[in-house]
Amino acid sequence: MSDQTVSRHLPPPAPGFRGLVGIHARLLVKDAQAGTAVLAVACVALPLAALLTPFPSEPADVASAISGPMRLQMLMSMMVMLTVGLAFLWPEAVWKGLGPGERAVLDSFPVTRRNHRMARVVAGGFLPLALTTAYLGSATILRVRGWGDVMPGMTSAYPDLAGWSAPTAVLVLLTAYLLSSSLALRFGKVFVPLLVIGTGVYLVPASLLLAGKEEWIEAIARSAVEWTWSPFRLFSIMFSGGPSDVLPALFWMTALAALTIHLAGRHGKV
Amino acid sequence: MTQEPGITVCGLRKRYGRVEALSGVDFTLPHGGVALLVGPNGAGKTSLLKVLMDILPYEAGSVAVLGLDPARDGARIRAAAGFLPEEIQFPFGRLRVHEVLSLHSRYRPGWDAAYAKALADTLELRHDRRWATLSKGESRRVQLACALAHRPSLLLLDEPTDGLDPIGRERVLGLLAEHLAETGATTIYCTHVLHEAQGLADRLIVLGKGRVRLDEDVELLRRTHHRVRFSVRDGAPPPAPFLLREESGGASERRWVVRAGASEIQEWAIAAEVSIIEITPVSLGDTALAYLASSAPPSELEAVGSNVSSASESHHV
Repeated sequence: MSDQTVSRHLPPPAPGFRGLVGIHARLLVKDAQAGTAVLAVACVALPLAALLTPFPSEPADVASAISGPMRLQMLMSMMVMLTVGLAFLWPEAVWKGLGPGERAVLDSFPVTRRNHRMARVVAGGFLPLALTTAYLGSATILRVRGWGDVMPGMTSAYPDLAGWSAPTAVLVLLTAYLLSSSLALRFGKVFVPLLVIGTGVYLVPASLLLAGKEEWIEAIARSAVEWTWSPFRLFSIMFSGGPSDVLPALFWMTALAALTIHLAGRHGKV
Repeated sequence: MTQEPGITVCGLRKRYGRVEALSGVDFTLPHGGVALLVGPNGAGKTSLLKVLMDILPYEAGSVAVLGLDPARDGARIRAAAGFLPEEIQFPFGRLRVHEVLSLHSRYRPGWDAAYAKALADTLELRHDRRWATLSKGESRRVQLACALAHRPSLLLLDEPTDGLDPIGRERVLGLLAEHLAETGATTIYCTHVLHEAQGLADRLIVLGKGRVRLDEDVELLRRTHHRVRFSVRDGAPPPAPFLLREESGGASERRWVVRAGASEIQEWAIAAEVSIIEITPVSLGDTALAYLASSAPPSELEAVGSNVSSASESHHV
């Protein structure tokens, strides 16, 4: 038997990408920790709470001085924050506990490394998407019932929350999820690199502004966030979700998807 | 066993930052061959197996496993391989044993459910236990069932009996012997306990400081390596070209591990005027130790006793 013959008799790698996504979606559920369960409950409870809040007929809550619409606004805002926070931090849970030993086991399965890791990324993406869907569903129901007025956000100072319409919400969430997934694939962890990036993006410019009070620094910091194509804008309150923001969001999501796919194929930390 | 290469490694180098784990590893294992891979901790054994499985990248050299390049066809190699990693960690600790087996079966088109059940019975797996609650030995047995149940034609085993009790070891070795007899799998078996696996192997590869210090047929090793006990009357004995390692002896007695046949040893003894007490075969473990203990570079080790003739019997003089 020649060498070529030997390789020709090898079994084909299996299963395909969709099968892998299914396997990892089930694994994420079966191997779920308490934190995931809390998130899942929050995923259902928050929109339910938002929907069940008596509005607008109920009189103002005198004791807490919070009116029904205000409560509804707060719940919806919490939902937004939870969803964005989850999208950023969820990959930490998706790739948790994958030290060198576990990595060797995962990488010893007979599928290509890129397919295998991307399948886990895709399977892990279902939860943020479920949260987004829950939020958008709630928002849609509110609008249909004529309570859409609560959607513009907590206060008029943050009109951006109004922009949480379907396409932009999905884009921002997926971009956040892909950013953190690429960090997990590159560094084996999410929280610390995210903290470093967050510090660099927000604290350093803020400190510079406070310390120097130089106009040109302020101008740079401001333009970094205000510029339509800036990645910082995507995750800031400046993101309006309007048509002009969709293209940059799409661009960054595509770029991060490409980066994630590239990193998934490399021998790396995960 | 055919003569086509099952695994061919040439000039393989692997670094971890500044540390070179493999610094030019060369060996060839024929298709169907079973090699014992031994070496001290940090010798590069685990790295080598992971490179063969494309779990780790390498910096230089060439590798062919079953005629395939791991860097290009890693998935196909892994499909044909039963891999038992050194570590007992598993990424999904909440899964129960039967779910772990089921997970592996989904990845393996050739999974033999009946064989998997037989393996589980022989290895006394407790199907309802969660992975995270298993002892080291139990985890090892589950890993072994997962590695064998698809009847792989390539086995890469990193310390397969580590953590097992004596009965467990015997069972595992029996299973491996049966598997090898049935499948003729090309096998690399990493171990620190040579004596337990020497009956399975037809080749011994000794890895030290990232390089192959010995790569030879087990039968040939048995015929050409001996322990010599001899008494010394006046001072140190003259140097012998076949000496590999001097073991602890006494004031009047020396013990050498040598790469030489009995006749060469006796010829040398007459010329050197030393009195031989006994010439005995050396175990594979002691042979490996002799090559590892030597500070000579691999090229010099190859030259030691290179013209040795075979002689398998023990000689009492």
